[in-house]
Amino acid sequence: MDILLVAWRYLIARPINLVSMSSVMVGLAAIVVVDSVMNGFLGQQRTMIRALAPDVTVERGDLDAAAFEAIRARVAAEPDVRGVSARIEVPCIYFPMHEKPQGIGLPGINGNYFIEVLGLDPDDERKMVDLDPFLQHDRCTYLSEPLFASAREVCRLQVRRVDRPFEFSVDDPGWQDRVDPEYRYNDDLIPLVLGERLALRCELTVGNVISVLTQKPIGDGETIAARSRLFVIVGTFIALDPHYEVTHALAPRAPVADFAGVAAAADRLAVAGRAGTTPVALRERLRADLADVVAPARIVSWTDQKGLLLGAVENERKIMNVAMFFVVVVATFSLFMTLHQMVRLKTRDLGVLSAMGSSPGRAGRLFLLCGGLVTLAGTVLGIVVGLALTHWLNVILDTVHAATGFRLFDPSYFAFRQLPTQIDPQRIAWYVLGTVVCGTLFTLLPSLYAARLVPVEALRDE
Amino acid sequence: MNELDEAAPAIHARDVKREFVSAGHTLPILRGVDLDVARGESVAIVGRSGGGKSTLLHLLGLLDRPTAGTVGVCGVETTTASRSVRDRLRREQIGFVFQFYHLLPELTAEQNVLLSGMIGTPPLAWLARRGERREKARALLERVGLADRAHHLPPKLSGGERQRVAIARALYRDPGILLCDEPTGNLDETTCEDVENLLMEIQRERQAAMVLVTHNLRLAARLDRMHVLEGGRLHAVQARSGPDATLAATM
Repeated sequence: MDILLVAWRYLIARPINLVSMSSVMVGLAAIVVVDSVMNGFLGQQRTMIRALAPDVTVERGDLDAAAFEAIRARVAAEPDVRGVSARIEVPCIYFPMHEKPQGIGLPGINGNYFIEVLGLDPDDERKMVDLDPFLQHDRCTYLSEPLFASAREVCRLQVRRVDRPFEFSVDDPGWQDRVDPEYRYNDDLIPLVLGERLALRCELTVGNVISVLTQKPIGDGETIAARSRLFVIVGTFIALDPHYEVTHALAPRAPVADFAGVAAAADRLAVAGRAGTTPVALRERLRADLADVVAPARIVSWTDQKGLLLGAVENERKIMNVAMFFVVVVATFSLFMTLHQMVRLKTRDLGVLSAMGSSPGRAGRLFLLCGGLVTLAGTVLGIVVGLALTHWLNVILDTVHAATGFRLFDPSYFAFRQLPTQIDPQRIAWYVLGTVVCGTLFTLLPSLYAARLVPVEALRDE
Repeated sequence: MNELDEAAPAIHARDVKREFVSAGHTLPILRGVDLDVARGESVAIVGRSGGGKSTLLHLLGLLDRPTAGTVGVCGVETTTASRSVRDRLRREQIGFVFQFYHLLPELTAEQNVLLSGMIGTPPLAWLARRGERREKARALLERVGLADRAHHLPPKLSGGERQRVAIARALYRDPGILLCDEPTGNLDETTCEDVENLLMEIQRERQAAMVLVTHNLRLAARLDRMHVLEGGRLHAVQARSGPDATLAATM
């Protein structure tokens, strides 16, 4: 009781203790906010990556339809497999039609763009992966549901060739009759969902018709034949990887396979595992079971393909957390300074307490309690402030932006409009534990010093 | 804790020696002090500054251990007693009054008095009788004439008032022994006399053994016995008579 009373009076009588408590609070709040933001980034990135990345991909592009279907049937029969979807990826070149083709070039050079057109079956894909994060974004001019079919309805009203702008408004009554029949929407146009960055770069939007070029080997393969087809843009997607956004497009699988002229209409299988099966375990299982038909290297998990990207962010989070934890260490170190100073100032009080029958150990406990109360208050406030800041982070950022013009988070760099946050209670519990341990350690030294004071010398302290 | 002996002197010191080692040199401060103080008896110790008066008081108050010799408190031999026994004796049997009051400045007058009772009392036991204990603290403050200053912080009190609070604090546990280290050394003449009177009255009321270290010969003369600490030894001077002019000259 005596310790509690004296500790409490010491604490409230000295504003420096408020500073110590605030420093612990700020340190912990900062680490909560940073961790939540990094968690949010990681979660968003995982979602974006997983939007098109199935658990495992099985590639085999040189088979006829029957042989490919046989592999598909074997994969689908695997006990750990939840679903299988066929895909085809066709390398193409897009060149804006108002420019003449300049041959094959790098993206953005000579006006040509390499595009990997990914042919997929939306209904099958939706059972495998979550495409929505790819398609739901504020710049997406059209969100299709189902992916390509209803897009045609929109395009029916908007279709136009990019090299021949309309000379009339779509608001004019009967405008469709005045469109050159060659460019009216028809089902021969292949719906295409283009990467948002490529669409912006090429000034393309929903309803635009573009010509895309691919090649098909002829005879012994030494000769290739160019093939082109008109595609209509029915939407745009966003991706975590900007390069992916510039170089990929989504289209229905059957017309893409027809465009490419391949026999099997698919060259890979997207495989989803059952709950409880890890992608790596599924990969290993498939590698073992399909060893006679698919080379092991052609069976890859999503972590093989995208793990580096996610791992990099995870690593960034770790580094950031370590750096932030040093902030907490420094904050709790201020506790050491404050308590050490307090012990020095209160040495004579300790002598008086001894004279009243208090033991040296109680003097130590007195300062342990002081440090403990400051740490506890700082920790509780730090958690509360950290969670509040995390909750209203985007509101705060928007307010700061509106008031000062300063934008901390620029959504144009990312595939999401707001700063993502995700609170991880378990990690916060570890930070709290770390803060309490640091606070205790830094409190321990001044407390030990207080406990070792000789009462007579303490009484003589000036 | 060793059993208290009601029949034994409150303080029983024999051949108490205390040496300090400083810069490799041994400095003997007390060279063999013998002192018995019975319950209800008051003893003044006078002597030159630096003569070891406070050191002796600290030894009698169990704040320090002698280099040699024995100190008994209420019949308990303390020199070899454990720290917890000494702490408990100090808590329950000894009240200190210091020259510079040594109140905790963050605590009110009442809290300073209560603090003495809180030490060593389990929190629940304290809370169970909190009202009663506060009443006692207030009664003590009233006894020393500070009933209306109970909620004042020490910096808001005068020197005399602080010393009264310190006396009330020393009395809270109803100690059998009062050890006063120049209790009036920091007060003006009028206040000094008030505090002297208060101490004397209280000592008689409570029949406590009192050892008072002072330079004030007038105060020393009011006590039952007076000793001079000189050359590291105590010398009895007189009993209940006026100040000795020769003694005053030596101080």
